[in-house]
Amino acid sequence: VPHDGQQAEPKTPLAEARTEEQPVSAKTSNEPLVSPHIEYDTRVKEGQLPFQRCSTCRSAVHPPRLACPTCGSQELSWATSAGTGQVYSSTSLSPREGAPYNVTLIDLDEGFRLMSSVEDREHVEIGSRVRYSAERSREAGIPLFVSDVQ
Amino acid sequence: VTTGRSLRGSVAVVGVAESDLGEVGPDVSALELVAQATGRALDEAGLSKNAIDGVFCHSAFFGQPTTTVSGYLGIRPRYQDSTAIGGASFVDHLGHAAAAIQAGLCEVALIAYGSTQRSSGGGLMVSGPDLTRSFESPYRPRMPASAYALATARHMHEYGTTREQLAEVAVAARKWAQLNPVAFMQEELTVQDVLESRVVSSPLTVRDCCLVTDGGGAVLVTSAERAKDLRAKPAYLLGYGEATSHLDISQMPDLTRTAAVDSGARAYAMAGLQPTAVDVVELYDAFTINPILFLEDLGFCEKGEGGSFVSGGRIAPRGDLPVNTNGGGLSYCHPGMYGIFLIIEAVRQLRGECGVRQVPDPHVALVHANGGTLSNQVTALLGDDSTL
Repeated sequence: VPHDGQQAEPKTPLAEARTEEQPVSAKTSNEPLVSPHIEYDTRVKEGQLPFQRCSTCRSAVHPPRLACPTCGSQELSWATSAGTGQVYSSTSLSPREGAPYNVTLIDLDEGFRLMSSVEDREHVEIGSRVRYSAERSREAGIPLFVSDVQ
Repeated sequence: VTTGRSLRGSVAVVGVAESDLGEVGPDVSALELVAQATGRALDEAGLSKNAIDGVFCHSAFFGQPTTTVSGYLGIRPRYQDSTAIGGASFVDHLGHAAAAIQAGLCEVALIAYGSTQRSSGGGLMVSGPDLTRSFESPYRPRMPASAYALATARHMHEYGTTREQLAEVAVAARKWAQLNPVAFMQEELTVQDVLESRVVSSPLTVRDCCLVTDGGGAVLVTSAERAKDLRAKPAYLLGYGEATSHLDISQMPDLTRTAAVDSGARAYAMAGLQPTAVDVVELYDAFTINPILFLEDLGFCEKGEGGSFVSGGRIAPRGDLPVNTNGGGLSYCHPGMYGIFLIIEAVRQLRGECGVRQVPDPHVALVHANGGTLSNQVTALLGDDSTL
């Protein structure tokens, strides 16, 4: 189920499980190999924050790949993150040309971490809450976040 | 538990040398620095290049590093290893050379490195083209500095480590560098200077970051038995361990705890030694957070106490624990990858050759190298003949 929106809706684990798709096994499929990166990009452009869920050990997997880095299972299925998370660490850069920006590690509530940027902020506080910006991510083609503090 | 205990004391470093360092100019190549350092190390050991039958290299300047170096020097190795794990490669090569020598696959190993990173236009060197899709580069981190900045910010958040404590690492390195005639940076440096320098990637300023210099190094390793007949006082490999936890910083499980916990434990187990036995410490200080993390992870202080541990000049000259006695990557030399220089300084300290920066009567030296974005960790323990 593609994520529809500007606002990421909080989801219960049960709701998340319902959005989970059938796993595609790299080991048994007769279809030609399609890079999970391509699938990932497609979903980001549709406004989702995609990740993979291991069908065997239930680990959340990001960045996308063909086998679970925790247990080695090749049964990974796509899931859509609720887009809410907490800042694990952040650094700010001020290029000689252009606006200052931050590079931020975000722990998503589903249990995976990614590098991203919190838009419209120069400095981002560790521990602060952030949420996925579907609109900006769709435009940029990469996941971007905004602060959850109004 | 396999500790590789049979490697303990089985090989020795018998020749170490730097090439010309600093800024060698645009007409000198990285390969020429390798050759210069190798020539000096061979002279020191009293060996001919024809004695070398194992070659260990990594380079960001030339492909097939071991073949390139062997071809240039006229060596026909029967064993070669271009393990490429960033700046940690060369201490890794030391462990691999020991295993190869003990297995009888070679007898005299050359570990060599050369780089003209400064004369080639600076910038922090990336080892060759990276064709793997990155989920980090679209966010424009300045790598590797931003990765270490993220680790620094997290360490400050969790343990209250301060900017002043980080600056103490840079100031201690500078004080050691002032005792080393070939160190690149010799001017006075204060905590305030570090804090007021240009921010590269917050919270790190340019003085929290290693230098960009030219330089090369060579290390010769052979069996403990053959070492007895050579010119230089042997420095025996007592223990070695490596560990790798991730490639990308976004995949590092805990930014305040590195795989040095594991590499150190493996090295100590092989050597049968504890941190208390170590007389002199050489840590890869690519950024000021590194020595703080490694002093914690290698057991010199508790997790989270690294900041206070380095304060008050404790790791500076005349401090309680001599760390990075050549001035380190922060003030002595950092030509893209620094690992080989850790070994060179440790061996010279064990031989007692270091002049005004000589640590009094050391018997055990710890060398710890880091590669990638805190990805690869390699620890080695070296000792004089009293430790066998």
